[in-house]
Amino acid sequence: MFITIDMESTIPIYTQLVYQIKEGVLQGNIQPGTALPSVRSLASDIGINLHTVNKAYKLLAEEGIVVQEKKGFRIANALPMKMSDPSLALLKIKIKEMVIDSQIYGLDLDSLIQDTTKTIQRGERL
Amino acid sequence: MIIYLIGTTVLIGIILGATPYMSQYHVPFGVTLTGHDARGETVRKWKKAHFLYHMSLAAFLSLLLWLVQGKATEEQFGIIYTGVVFFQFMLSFIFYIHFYNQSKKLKEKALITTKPEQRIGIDLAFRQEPFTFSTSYLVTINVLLALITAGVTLLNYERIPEVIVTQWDISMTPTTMTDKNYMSVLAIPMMQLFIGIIMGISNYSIQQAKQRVDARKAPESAKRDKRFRKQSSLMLVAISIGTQLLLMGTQSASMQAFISPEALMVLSLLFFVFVIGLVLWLGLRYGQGGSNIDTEALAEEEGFPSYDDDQYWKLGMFYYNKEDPAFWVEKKMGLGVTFNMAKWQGWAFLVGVILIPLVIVYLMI
Repeated sequence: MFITIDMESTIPIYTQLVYQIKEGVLQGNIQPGTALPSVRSLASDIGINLHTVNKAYKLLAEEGIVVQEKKGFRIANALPMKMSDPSLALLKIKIKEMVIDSQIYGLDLDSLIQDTTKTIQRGERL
Repeated sequence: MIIYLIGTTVLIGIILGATPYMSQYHVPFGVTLTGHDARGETVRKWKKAHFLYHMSLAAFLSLLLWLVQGKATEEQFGIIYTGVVFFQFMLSFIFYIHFYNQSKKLKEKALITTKPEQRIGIDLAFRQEPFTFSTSYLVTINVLLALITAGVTLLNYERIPEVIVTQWDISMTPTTMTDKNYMSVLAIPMMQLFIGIIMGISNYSIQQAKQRVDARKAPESAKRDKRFRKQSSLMLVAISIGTQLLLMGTQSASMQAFISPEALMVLSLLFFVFVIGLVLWLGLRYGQGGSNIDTEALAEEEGFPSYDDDQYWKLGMFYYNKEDPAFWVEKKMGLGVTFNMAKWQGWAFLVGVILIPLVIVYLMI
């Protein structure tokens, strides 16, 4: 699977990594059980600190998207059934921010969400 | 003899002069250009000029060697030839810097209208399937050949002459000799072992070097890079075996068995031509990072590649990036792999590569 990291983005690199991998899992571009590159190898390829990659992997592991084994990280065999409470709380904050912004700028949030959902379902990249 | 030296000068000229044709698509002279500029008329002229400069220089130096031969003593001629080689590399560097500076200006111009992105493409499965020849096999083959040399030498130790030749001059008269002892007869197998290790490290570096994937066309870009690395690795295998056989020949010649120094000389030169041919083939057919594979697809590219790390490349040649944990990186200018100079391990490696052969040669003489 291919991912893209934007070095100039305001979104932190570890967040980009987390969501690129999640997107890949959701779209079936990366199969359950697939081994991820080692922390050192991925950090070297991108040219960033090892901690950044480690942080992304640990976050994914906490959520159950990937599992940590002796040899490294791999994609979990099944998607986690339930979102953890802290993650859910975070999601609610994100939704709140989205609602605030859409209200301020008068955007139709529902249709924006529908468009995004369709794009992801079609397997396209945003 | 003179014809060999002239041939060598011309071949080195060809390799140095043709380098921009073998470099990364967007980086003919160490500076990242837009696709539009990289294949534009200006850069095409520069590449041609760069090649012609090198050829004229090689012709001039060849003529010089031709005129000097016979007039100088063997010793003087040796010094002159060393000077010629040095001069050739030094001027080649000056030619490069000239076009490097020109490219920088061209980039500045392009930056006014085109803003480069900083998006890095990553193939998560890049190293999942090995694309190089196995490093452990490569080292095993090399070590076995070194052991064969050592074994045959020791088994025939009694029959080796009391004095062994370690150097011949240009007309194949022995010039340096050393007394036979276990240290001196095993110098060449030690050199073979050292070369085996260096070849192993080189192959490993091809496998490990940072992937260069253009985010705009990630799958195609990763495929190019892997194909190029596979061929580089196979080339390394061929060169390493050839070098080992040549060293085995040298061992035989200095023990005055099987092969004459004259035949060895001819074989060395043929091997040199073969290596230069291989490098040219790899560079022109595949190109650095696969830049010469399917050039039609590349010809559609207009802007800058998705990621530009020129700021970390000193003179477009030396990679220095403290933030980057990567040790091995694909070269920006020319073919192959180099290392991150911000890492002390790189300098240790470099010192080792220079010192160890000197120690071995010291033991030999």
